[in-house]
Amino acid sequence: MSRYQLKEAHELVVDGKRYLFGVSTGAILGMDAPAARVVDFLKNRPGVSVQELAAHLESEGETGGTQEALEELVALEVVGSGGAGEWRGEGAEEPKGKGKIASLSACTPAPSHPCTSSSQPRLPFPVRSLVCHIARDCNLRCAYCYAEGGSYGQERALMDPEMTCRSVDFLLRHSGGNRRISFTFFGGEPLLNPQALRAAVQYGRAQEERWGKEIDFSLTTNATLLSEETVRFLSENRIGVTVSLDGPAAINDRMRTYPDGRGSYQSVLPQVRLLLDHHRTRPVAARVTVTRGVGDLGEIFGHLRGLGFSQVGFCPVSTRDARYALSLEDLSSFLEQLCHLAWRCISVRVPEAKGLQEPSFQGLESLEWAGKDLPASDSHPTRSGYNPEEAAGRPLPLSNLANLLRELHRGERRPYPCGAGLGLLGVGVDGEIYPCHRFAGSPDLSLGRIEQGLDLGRQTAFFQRVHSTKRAEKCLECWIRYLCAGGCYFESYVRHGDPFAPNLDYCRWLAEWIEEGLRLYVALAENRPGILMGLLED
Amino acid sequence: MKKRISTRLLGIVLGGAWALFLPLSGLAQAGQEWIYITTLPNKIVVLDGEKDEIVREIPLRGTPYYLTATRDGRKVFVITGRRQYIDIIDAEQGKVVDSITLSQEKSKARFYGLAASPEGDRLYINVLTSREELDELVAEPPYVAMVDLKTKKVVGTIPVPYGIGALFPLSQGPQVYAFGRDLYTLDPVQRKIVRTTGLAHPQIGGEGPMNALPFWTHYVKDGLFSSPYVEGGDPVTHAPKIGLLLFDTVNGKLDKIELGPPIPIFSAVVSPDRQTAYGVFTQLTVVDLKEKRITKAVPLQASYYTLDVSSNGKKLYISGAAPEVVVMDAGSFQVLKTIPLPGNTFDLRVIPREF
Amino acid sequence: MKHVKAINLRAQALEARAKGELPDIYALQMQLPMSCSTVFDPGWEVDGMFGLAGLCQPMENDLYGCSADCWWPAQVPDELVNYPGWSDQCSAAVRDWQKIKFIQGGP
Repeated sequence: MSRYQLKEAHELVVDGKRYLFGVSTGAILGMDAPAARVVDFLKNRPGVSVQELAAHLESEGETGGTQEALEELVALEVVGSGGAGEWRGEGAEEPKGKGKIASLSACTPAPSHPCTSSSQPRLPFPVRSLVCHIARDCNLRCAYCYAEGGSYGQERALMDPEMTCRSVDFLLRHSGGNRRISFTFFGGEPLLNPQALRAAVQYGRAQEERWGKEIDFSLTTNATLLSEETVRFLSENRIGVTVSLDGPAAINDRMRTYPDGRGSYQSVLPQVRLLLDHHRTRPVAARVTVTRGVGDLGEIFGHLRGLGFSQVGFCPVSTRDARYALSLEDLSSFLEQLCHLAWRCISVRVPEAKGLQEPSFQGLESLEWAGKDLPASDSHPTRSGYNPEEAAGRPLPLSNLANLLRELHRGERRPYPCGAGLGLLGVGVDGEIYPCHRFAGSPDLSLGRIEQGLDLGRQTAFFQRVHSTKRAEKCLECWIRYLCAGGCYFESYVRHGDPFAPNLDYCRWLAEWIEEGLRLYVALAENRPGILMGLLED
Repeated sequence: MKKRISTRLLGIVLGGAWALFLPLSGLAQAGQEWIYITTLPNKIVVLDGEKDEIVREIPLRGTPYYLTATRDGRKVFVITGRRQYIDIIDAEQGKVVDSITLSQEKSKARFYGLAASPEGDRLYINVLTSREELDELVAEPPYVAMVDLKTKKVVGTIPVPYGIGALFPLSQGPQVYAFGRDLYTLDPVQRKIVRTTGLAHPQIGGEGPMNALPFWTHYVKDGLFSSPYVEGGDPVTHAPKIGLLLFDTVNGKLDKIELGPPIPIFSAVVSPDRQTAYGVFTQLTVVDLKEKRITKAVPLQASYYTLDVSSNGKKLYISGAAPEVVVMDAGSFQVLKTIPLPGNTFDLRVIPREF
Repeated sequence: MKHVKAINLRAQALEARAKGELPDIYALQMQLPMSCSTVFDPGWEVDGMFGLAGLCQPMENDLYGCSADCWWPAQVPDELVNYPGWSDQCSAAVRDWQKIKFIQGGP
């Protein structure tokens, strides 16, 4: 006899309706009353027969649509069943044509985690992104810098332009079938090495046609060294720019200082304006590092949007240093503010979304940043001429949210927390290859050299360690494990000295953030799918 | 009516002229070739390429597997006798005139892949040997043996990896290709692999890997080797793809023609004009090599695993597995004839008769 | 679907698969097959995609593809080493399958 069992799913209620997020499928599903009844009965009951289900629902006087709902839940992998089922409920008849799927589902061991499976990534893996340290040096000395003033704990150095070109070449050669590939100039401060930047871009553009590929160049900078000429170069060559800036002077200058202790905001401001005014070919983003005390995200966001950044992203600081690291209270405040900001961004686009699902937090007042200093932008709901349809086509200004919604939309399931060591690689100034740019200066994690190529043995060993560590065990009961897959290797490395250690510090934070994203996604998908599609566009 | 008669008459006249002319020119045309089919339990059945009738049945020592021939078709070599023998057939006499084995009492040498040198003086055989020790069987490393056909002596060996199922010679020059998990170029002078073209182990990051089936029949037509392959496909979706590998034995160029989601194609052959490739299983798949796409799928009455094309490109001979051979018009794709055979078949090859 | 609504792309893909609009391919998802008993051997029970369309028609035609080179020793005796005479009375399996021999005990 066939037995039915609920698979792992995360439940949520949006606007009074019930939804499920399939933990291993990544599917987001809405349930009507009969489906919800089936799910409720199956909860905490391993292996329920159809008879038991039917008897229970009959006793409750609820039978309409149950069989159909069960079949749909089986087909959508919410409910697993062992073998071809019998249906002996009211109007008894065989379930139609679902036997195959049901039995396949029953074969899936649960709970599972991609990191615990024995399947190793298929190597060589096509590289999609290369992040290249063209400068192991920086002209700022931001207090919280994980790269220790841009030096990564090593001697300050610049990458030889020839090595940068070789890195471009490496990317082209190892990118397999990827037609669009990206090359990021990183540091330290990459603009300390304009020769390498120019040489690589020139070389890359000359090679694109030959390889039939398109290189998306980008640059992460502190903006201090931007000149008119550099901005023109960036714009002409369609180089995407992300500026590290923490907000208005009072906030920014607490951490982002010159070696003499002088704050950097005042000297950066003219350069940022120059960049935002003259970089016409790509949107310019700001990246904010969130540190101890968190501050007012709304104020920071409003300020940076006011300057003209098209996207703002918030990232918690990577450090163990108690002076800068986020405390538990900080994490909670960060989450709360980020969720408010997310709802705010959505409700600006879709005024009725605000009424759909008010965030459960208090303190919206702190988000009333939009009023005074903002230029023409869709982020200001009161400005005349606001047109939601027009706004829909523009990307969401909060990059944390834009990325999350995109992942939820696709129902991404990740075998690994990120592409590090596979599609994403970092290169140190000396041509050493690392799982990602953040590991530069950790020779024990080197995966090869640009000249010789990837060391498949080291790459394999890296993933063997990923698979064999206990980080996955901790994840087995977590509903976001297929979205987070254990978290950033580098965070674990910084906090625990071991990239493969469980990264538990952000577990709850991330789960709640994803939950909020789910609620936002569902609210939009159910009410304004057109707007949602617009938001998801790149 | 009148027109039809005159055309037929013209055909007869021309046919006669060709028949007179060809033996002198040494060029094979349709009709000047035989179709060799290895069948169970122990035979090669020979069809005449003009009339498509069985003209010969050549008895062998055991189940025949794969066969090859010298360029002029005078000598035919077939792996048989539990893969431990190569029977050498004199095509003119239509019988086995000699045989080669490398097995000894305690050491069984089995043959997986063979090729004759263009000059017909040398045979290349891929050999897998299992040696019987006191209490165990020891698998010895595989190698390609170079056999001098005059003396029947092994004149040299080339070590090769496991997994090779087919050998074929370079169009010109002494080198030989071995088809296994990758494609290897063997140099008989240096006695080593001088080049590996990655298939299962692609050399370009992210390319492939591909899976092909070396242990089945492969053809080289006008210097173009063809084989179906399957590829794991997109690294994200993992959607597999099937396609054709085309390897030009003249210039060493490997070409991949991607055909899309997997459809079963067990072997493929290229038309002599290199315009069309044919793949076979329960359907005949026709691929336009210029446009690089499937242009036609012709359903077949049963599944077949092997096919070859006549040297004028006008007829297809389809067999492999089923105890029959289907003769098909390569223009209209109409079945011209289905000829029953004594047993299930393995290999089928159109071999010119230039003697 | 009437009771469960597919909201995101993944859910819609599951729904399409349940309706039979998407091929239900599992065999090749994670890694490439590296032997002939996957894509290059049609099988006798189900094909590589759990269907029947890719099977050898009729299955008898494929019988010796496995026994003669012992590709599939679990299903058929290997005629190369241990049971050389298994099919010697049955050269054309589709016509003479009744004449195939029985194997008793181990080799």
